[in-house]
Amino acid sequence: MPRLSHGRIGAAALVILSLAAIGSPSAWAQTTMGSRNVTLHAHLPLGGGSHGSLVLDSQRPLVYIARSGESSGVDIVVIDDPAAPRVASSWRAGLAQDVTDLAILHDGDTPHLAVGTDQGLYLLTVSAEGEVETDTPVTGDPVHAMFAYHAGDGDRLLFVATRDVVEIRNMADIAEVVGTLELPEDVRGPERRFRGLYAQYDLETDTDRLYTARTGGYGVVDVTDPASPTPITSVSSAAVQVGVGVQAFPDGSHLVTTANYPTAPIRLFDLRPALSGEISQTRVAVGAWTDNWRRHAERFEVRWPYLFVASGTEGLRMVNLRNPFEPFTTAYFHTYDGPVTADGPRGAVDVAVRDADGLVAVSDETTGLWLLAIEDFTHWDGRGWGVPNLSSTQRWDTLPSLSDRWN
Amino acid sequence: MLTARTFTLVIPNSIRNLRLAKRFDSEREILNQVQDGSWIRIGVIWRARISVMLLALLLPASAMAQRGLEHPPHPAPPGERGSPNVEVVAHIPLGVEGSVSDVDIEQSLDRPFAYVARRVGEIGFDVIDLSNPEDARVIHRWRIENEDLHSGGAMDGRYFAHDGRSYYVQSMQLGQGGPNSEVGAIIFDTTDLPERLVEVGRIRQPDNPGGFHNIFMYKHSSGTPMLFATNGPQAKVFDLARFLEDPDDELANPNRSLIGIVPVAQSENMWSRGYHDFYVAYHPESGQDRFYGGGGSGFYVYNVTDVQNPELLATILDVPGVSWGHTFTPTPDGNFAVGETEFQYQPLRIFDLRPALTGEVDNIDHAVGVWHADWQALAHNHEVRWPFVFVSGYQTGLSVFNMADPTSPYTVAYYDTFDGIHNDRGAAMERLGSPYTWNVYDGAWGVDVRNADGLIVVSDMTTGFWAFRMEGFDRWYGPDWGMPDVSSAQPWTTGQSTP
Repeated sequence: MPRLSHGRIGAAALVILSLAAIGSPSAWAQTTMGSRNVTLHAHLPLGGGSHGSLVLDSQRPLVYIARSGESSGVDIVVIDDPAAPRVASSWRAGLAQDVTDLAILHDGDTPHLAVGTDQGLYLLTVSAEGEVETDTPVTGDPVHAMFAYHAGDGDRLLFVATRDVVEIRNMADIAEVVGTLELPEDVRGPERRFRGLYAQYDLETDTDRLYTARTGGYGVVDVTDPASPTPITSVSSAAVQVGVGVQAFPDGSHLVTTANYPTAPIRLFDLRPALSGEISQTRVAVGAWTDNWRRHAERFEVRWPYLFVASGTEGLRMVNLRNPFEPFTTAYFHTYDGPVTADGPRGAVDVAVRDADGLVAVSDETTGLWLLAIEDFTHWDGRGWGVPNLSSTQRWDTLPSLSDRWN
Repeated sequence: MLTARTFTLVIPNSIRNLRLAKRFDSEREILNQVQDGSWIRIGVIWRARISVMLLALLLPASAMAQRGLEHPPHPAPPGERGSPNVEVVAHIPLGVEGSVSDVDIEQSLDRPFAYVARRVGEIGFDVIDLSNPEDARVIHRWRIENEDLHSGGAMDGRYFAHDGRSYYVQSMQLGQGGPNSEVGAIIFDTTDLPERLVEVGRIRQPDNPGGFHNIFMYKHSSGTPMLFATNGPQAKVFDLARFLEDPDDELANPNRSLIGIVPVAQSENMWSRGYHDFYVAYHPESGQDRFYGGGGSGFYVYNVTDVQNPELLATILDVPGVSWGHTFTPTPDGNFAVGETEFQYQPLRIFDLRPALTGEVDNIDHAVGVWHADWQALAHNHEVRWPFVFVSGYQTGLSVFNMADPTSPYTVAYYDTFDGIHNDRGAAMERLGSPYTWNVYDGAWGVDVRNADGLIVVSDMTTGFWAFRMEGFDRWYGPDWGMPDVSSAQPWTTGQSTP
C-alpha cells in the first residue's frame, strides 16, 4: 500500500472539501448557521402558510404566532420544554382576514390574547395548556398595530392603531374607547396611518408615553391621561416617509426605529435635544445598523444594551447599542437558507424575548418557529444594566414607577 | 508548498481579497484578516499559503463576480486606498479643509484644463493645467474681489465654447450679509489659457438673491449655448450667446439673456420648492432636448426643445426613502436614470424611465436597482459613461460602478480620496457645534470624466484635486457601447444631432 505524504493528504483534503462546497451550497450554510454564542433549542416548522407576528407569554410557557394566507389565524405553541415545542391549538380568523398583530393582556389573573386583523379586533382567552377557550369580537375596524401596556396608575391599557387613529382601550371594559390619538394633520407622506406602537413609563417625568411609528416618521405622545393624549415631540427624517417599528431605550433617551423600504437601516434617534427644548424636532439619526444594506428589517425588540432584530432572510441578529453612534452585531442565527429574490421570501419577520430566562423566539415566514439561547444572555432585568426595568414585556404585578428599584 | 503542520482554511469574502492572497505570509496575518471580516475561516486543518490560493480558485467564479469589488474599511489598510485597477495620476492639495467644491474638465486634449471651485474663505476657482497629467499644477487662482466681505462661495463650474472662443461659467452662492448676493454666475473668457483668463461679466438675479447652487451648460439642438441654473422655485435658462453680445447691459437689465423657466411639477407634500441639480441631454430617438431635474419631492423630466414652453414628460415621486432629489443623470439613450438624494444611508437608485415616457404609468414610484459604496455614508455627484457610473462619494472618494444590468449594479473600481474624519459624531460636534447633523458631508464633492482619454478628475472638499486613470478605460465614445454619444460633455464645435 503506497504511503501518502502529509502534503498529498492535505492537497487531497483541500480538493475534496472545495468540490464538496461547490456542489453543495447548503453545506456552507450549515457551517455558518449561527455564531458560536447562539444555541438552538428547537426548530418547529409550522406547515404551509406564512407566519408573521409573534408574542411570548411572560407568565406561561406559551408562544403565539400569527399566520396569514388561506389558514389565517394564530398558532399557539407550548414551550414548557424549549427543546420540544409543540402546537397546542390553532385559532382561525374568518374568511379573507389577515392577522396583523398580537398582544397579551393580563386582567387580574386572566390572560387574554388580543388578535388584530385587517377586519377587526378579537379577544381570546387561552388556557394554560394552550387551548382557546373563548374568542370575542371587539370591533370591526381594521387593526394595523397594537400594544398592551401597564400604565403608571395601574390601568391596563390596549393601544390599537386603526387607519389614522390610535384607539386607547382599558382592559376593564375593552369595548369602550377611552381616548383617541389622531395622525397629525401636517405629516407628509403616503398612506396616512399608524404602523407601529410602543408605550413606556418615563421615570424622569412620571408620565406614560406612547411612541408611534406612522406616516411622516415617529411621534412621542404623553398618554398619562388617556382621554387627552398630548404630543410631546416627533421625529421627521427626510429618508423616512413611513415609520414601521419603534421602541425606546428604557430611559426614554433614544428611539430605535425601522422604515418601510429596502435599503433602510435601523436608525437610532437621540430624543434628548428635542425633549429638552434645544431643538423643535428630531431630524437626523445619530446611528444606524444593518447587516444587509440592500434589504431592511421591520420588527425588533430592545433589551438595552441589546437589540434583537428579525432581520429577514438574514435571520436573527443581536446588536449591541451601548454606543448608539456605532451599533455592532454580537450574535446571529440564520433561520432561512433558501434562495432569495427581490420578491421574497421575507425570512425572519418577528422576534420576541422572554426576560426571565433570555429565551429568544423567532418567527420565519417560511421556516416557522425557532427557539434560541445566547450564551451570555441568560435573563434581562434593566436594573442590572443601570437602566429602568422597562421593555415591551409588561410587569403586570408591579407598577412601572418602581422599575428602577430592587425592592 | 504544503507543509506537514496544521493549516488554516480560509476563503476571501470578496473578489478583491482574492487578489490579496499573496499577502498572507503568516498565520497571524490570516488571523488578522479573519478578525476584520475580510476572510472567512472554514476550519483549521493545515497551514500553507497555497491552500488559500487553491481554495479561492476553486470557488464558483460567477458567485464572486456578481458581488463586484467591496470598498475597504475606513481608514483603508496601508496601500489599499484604491482598487488595483485605479492609478493615481495627480493629487494637488488646494487649501484648508472644506474649501473645495465642484470640478469640471475641458474635453479637448488641446485644452488640458480643469477648473476647481473654491468656497469658505477662498471664494473663486483654481485652474489646473493637465498638459502633463502626471505633473498637474495650478496655473491660476481667481478670487472674488474684497474676499473678506463675502460669505459663501463658488459652487459649480462649467466650461463652454462659442464663436471660436472658450469660456468658463462659475456659479456663485454668496451670503446676503455681504456684497454680490444677487450674483448667480460669473463668466470668464478662457481662450488665452494657460497665459490668462478674463472676467467677461456677471449674471445677476436680484429678484431671487442667493445665487445659483448648481448650473449646467448645454448645447441646445438649436445651437444656442444655454445655461441652466437653480434659482428660486424653478430652473432658469439663460442664452449665453445673447449674454456675450453685451455683458455690460446685464447690469441694467438682469433678465436680458433669460429665455426660459423650467418649473418644478407641483405635488402634495413637497419637500422643497426648487431644484437642487439637473442635467440636460439630447434625446436622439425623439429629437428632443430633455431636462432631468432633481429637487422638489423627487425627480422630473421635461422636454425643453422649446425652452419657453417646457413640457413635463415624467415624474419620479413617492419612492420609499426618497423625499427629495439631488442629482439625476440619465443613460445616453434616456431609458434609465441614476438618482441621488444626499441623505446619509441612502443608496444611489436606478430608475427605469420608460414606463412613464411611453405613458404606461403616470409616475415612476420605485427604483429597479440600488448601489452603495458604503451604506454608512452617501454618494454626492456622479457622471454617467454607460455602462460605467463615476461617483464622487462623501467619505468614500471615487467609485466606479457598472450598470449594464440596471437591476444589479456592481462596483468595478474605487479610490478613497478622503482621509479625514469618518462618520465621527464627536468631531462633528467640535467642528460644527452639533453631533446630530452634517457629520458625513465631507470628502469627494465632484467628479468629471474626459471622454477623449478617459482621464477622471475628482474634487475633494478636504484633500483637493485628484486625477485618475482606470485600467481598460482609455476613452469613452457612446457608439463603442451601442449607445448614442451623449454625456455631460457637450459637442460645442458640432451640434447635438451630429451622429
